[in-house]
Amino acid sequence: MTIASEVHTTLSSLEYADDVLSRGGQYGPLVGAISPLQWSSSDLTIGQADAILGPQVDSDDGEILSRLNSTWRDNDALNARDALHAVTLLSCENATWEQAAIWEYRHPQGLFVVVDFTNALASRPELDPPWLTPEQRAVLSMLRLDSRPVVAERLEELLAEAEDDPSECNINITSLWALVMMLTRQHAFADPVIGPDNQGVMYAQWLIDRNGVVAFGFPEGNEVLFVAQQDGGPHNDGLDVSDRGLEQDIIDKYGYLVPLRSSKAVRFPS
Amino acid sequence: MTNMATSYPCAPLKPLDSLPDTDDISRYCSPTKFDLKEDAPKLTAFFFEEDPPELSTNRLQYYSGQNESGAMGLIRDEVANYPFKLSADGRFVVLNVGAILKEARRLRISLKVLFTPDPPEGKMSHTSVIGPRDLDHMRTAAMFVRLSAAAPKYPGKVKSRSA
Repeated sequence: MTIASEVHTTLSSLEYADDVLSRGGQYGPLVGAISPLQWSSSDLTIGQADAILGPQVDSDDGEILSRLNSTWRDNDALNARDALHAVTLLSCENATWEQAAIWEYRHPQGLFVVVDFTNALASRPELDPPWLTPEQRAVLSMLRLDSRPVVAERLEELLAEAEDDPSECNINITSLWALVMMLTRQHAFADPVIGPDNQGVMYAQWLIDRNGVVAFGFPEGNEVLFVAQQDGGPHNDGLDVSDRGLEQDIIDKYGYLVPLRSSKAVRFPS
Repeated sequence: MTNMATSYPCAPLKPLDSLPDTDDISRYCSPTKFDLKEDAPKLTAFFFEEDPPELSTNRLQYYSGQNESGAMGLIRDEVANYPFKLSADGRFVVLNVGAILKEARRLRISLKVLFTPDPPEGKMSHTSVIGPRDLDHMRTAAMFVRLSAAAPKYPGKVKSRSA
């Protein structure tokens, strides 16, 4: 087994769905390096391997080795996880290992693997829309198939904004996925307004008659957050619910408060 | 809500003074936190910062002698120098302090609205809505969204006229 195939096998077993989204769009040649003391054909793991990431490495062999040498000596800031993570990212970005150029170098300081997806990325088909990862496109496809084009369009805008300015709009994909799955399961619910908080946790909300709000939040974990509020009437007996629990339990208790697709109450007049 | 034709009186406050109920504050909602189709902020526009729970706003009455629209223009100029980007698709929502505190009392949410200027940072009209450490963030945000539904809103950025 070659180093490249071993690295491939190791990387293929990793799951970085969240980070793939948060770091999408980073392309370029990558370098992984494995020191001789840490390498054997059977014990390559993320924790044991040192590696370096050189996103701008030129394809010239001499320059690569020069960069490897200098970086290898003082690569405290770089680590195996970053490098291998980035390779995984690219493998998820529609560039397959079969399309990549992979070189192996034997060097006194170790065995090095260079993985260059440049040409693969240059030849990849245009994505629609181009900034979305396969996972994100799958999310949108699911929503469109579920007849929620409004939410799918809004999600698309949010993902584009997250791509443009991650500090302003950093989406937690696990939370987003939980939101999508709820909407997929709850066909009757009207399309909500959606958005992430500062931590990327997604919220879905419905406005009711200009004086009420119903909302779900999707923090990491099995539970959902729920609030429902409406102004008090003459007797000051307005709605005020704040709860958390398993999605189905919350829907069983409060689902009747969520506006339905058949209702126009959720829409303000334009 | 303040009549747009009415000029605000001059009512100087010291830092950390509570705002009177008659005052108004504005909250900037970035495009990701404001739904233009609904003309309403999202819940996420009103999640307080953690530790301590604080919502950053601006006091319209700091700019005395202005009506609501004039004060909002000056606040827009001030906030444009804060370390975040204003957008034409973002919105300032204007809320009355008394209305906020009345609704918070009804929901038994403990809130204070304090004048918290920071002149060295150019935050002359800065105001903070402060909640307790155990604040129910989602429920509080829902309250602000409801109050905002019928509140005046101003674009985050006014497009300049072409020459």
